[in-house]
Amino acid sequence: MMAPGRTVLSLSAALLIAMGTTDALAQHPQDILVIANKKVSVDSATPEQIKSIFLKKRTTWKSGGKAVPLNAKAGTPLREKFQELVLGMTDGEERIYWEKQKIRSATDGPTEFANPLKAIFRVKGSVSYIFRSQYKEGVAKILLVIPHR
Amino acid sequence: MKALIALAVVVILHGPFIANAQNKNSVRRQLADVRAQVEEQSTASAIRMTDFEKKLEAQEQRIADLEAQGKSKEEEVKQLQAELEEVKSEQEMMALEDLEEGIESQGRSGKLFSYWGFFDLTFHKYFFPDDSIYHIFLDNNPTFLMTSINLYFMSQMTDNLGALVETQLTYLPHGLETDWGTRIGTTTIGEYTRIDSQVQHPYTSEYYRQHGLHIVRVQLKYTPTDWFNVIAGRFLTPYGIWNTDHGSPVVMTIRVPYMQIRKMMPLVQTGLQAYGRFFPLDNLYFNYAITVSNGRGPLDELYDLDANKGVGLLLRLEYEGDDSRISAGGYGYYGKYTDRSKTIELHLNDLGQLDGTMDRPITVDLQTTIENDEVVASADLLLELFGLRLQGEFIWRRVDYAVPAVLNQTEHLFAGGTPGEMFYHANHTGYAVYGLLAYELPLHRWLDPVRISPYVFYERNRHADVKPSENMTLYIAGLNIKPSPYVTIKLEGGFADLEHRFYGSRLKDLAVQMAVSF
Repeated sequence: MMAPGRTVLSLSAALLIAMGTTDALAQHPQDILVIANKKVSVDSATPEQIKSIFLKKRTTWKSGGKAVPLNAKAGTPLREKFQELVLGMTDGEERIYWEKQKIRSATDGPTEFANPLKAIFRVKGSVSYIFRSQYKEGVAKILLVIPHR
Repeated sequence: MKALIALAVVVILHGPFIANAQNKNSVRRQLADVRAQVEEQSTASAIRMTDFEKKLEAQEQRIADLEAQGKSKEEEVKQLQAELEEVKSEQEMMALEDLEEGIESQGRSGKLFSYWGFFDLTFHKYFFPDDSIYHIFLDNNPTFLMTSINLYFMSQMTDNLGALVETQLTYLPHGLETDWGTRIGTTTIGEYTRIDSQVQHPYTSEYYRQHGLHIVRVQLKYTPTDWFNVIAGRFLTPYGIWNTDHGSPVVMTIRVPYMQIRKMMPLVQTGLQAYGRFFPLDNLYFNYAITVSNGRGPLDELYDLDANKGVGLLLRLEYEGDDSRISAGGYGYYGKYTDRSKTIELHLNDLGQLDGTMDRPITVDLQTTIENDEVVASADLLLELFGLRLQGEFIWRRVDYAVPAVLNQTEHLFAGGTPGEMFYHANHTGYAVYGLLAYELPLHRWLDPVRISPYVFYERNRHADVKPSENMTLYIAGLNIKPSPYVTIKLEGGFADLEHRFYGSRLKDLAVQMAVSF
């Protein structure tokens, strides 16, 4: 029979291994990081909140201030991954969505940038997304991590 | 080494003289000279060697110096690299500033003015006999039609302030039938009249037809927060689904529900709208809108002919899941419709001049020709689930007249009147309901962005309980194909059951439409 102390140790080891595994998974370079300007007043967001901001159903941050979504360029792997994992849409579906919104409520899609990280750094209230491999410490705050699938 | 070589050369050159005894002394002298020279040369060589060594030392020193310099160069390179990084960082910052300015300028100038629009082309055919009374309003020849040519102009002045103009170009009023000749026995009353807007240029003599412009929306939008925004101007009444979708590239069918055509709810209003959205949950939205406007009237887009303002309230709940969307809402409206005419009364003296003895020799008599109160309530439901779309709207309307309007000839004949009589509209209640069921075929994995959705549509319209001649039921089936996000092709067939027996038959039709957004 295993001694209690040993059990605790083994559990700790298992936990560390598990954390290490989780960490390894979380560190995949193709993870999508939803990032925001450092002055944005929130520190985290749910996928539903991010989806509603990028579909312009929500236009302000929960704690106030305009939310300015910035998209990656259409047709890029990053944009397609974001469409699939966050918006739950294909590129065609997103285009149809914005064509309809333009006619209904005169609302157009978010501005597109080749390098959203750069834009996020300076634009007040902005929110965008990048692959983890593109992330630079201190440039933006991470609101949400969408693990690579 | 050089000295030894010199000695060897001397020996070789002078060898024959050494062998000659007769010249021994001279040879000795020569040898002494040579020795002296060699010694001298050796000394010189030694001096040169010393110089060389010095030079070598100097060179070694230089090499050592250079090596030292090399080390400092490495440090210098590192320092330069650090500076370069700093410069790059500064450049990045500058690029970011440019980007920021770019975004801001999009707010100021880049997006200051944007425009887009949509239009459609329909090929349509009604099926009814040539002697049918449908000919009063319709034509049974196959024809191409262009009904919507909408242009949007938008200016986003600041983050929170935008202006929108939506216009609809129309070929009307050209071709509008304004009267018919009505024959009773051998007597014909009235004359067939159709507007012909053809004009001739006074200089070039070129003929062309003038067409019209319908202003759909003109508004200033102030959008500071999610929960409170304001629209001032002319806006689409925020009721139901169809009215806000309104564009042919957005709506599923070709034919428009009769509740829209008959305007059971005012489709557009001029005034103010406050609206907003709350988020009870991340994917649950509660929307509201309050409208205050001129309401309905013969000139409501210009000005109101009564002091009463039309008021409305929208409440809507929306849920958005991963593969589902549910929306349920209701809008209520109350307003007064007033029309009037003016008669100017002149009070003259015996000489036929304005009577100066009176305080007001000119008076205006305003006569109210139509006045009614109107209450309208609507409810709508939208359910989207795994490609299935179920959409429905219901409208109930009550109209109470203070001054009733006169029925037109067709209306009062259908109501059992006789020609020449004056019949008036009666207080009435009406309702309409439609349901649309569509299914997007799961083909987009292979055909993206192509979308294909078969649909069926049903509408029951009881516009006014006192006018059963207007009761009708509409059945439609069709296919909505989106080969691109910007083009929609619709194929549709259907029929309307108009309950009044005078119509004689169902109103059947087939249509193909191409709707384009740009």
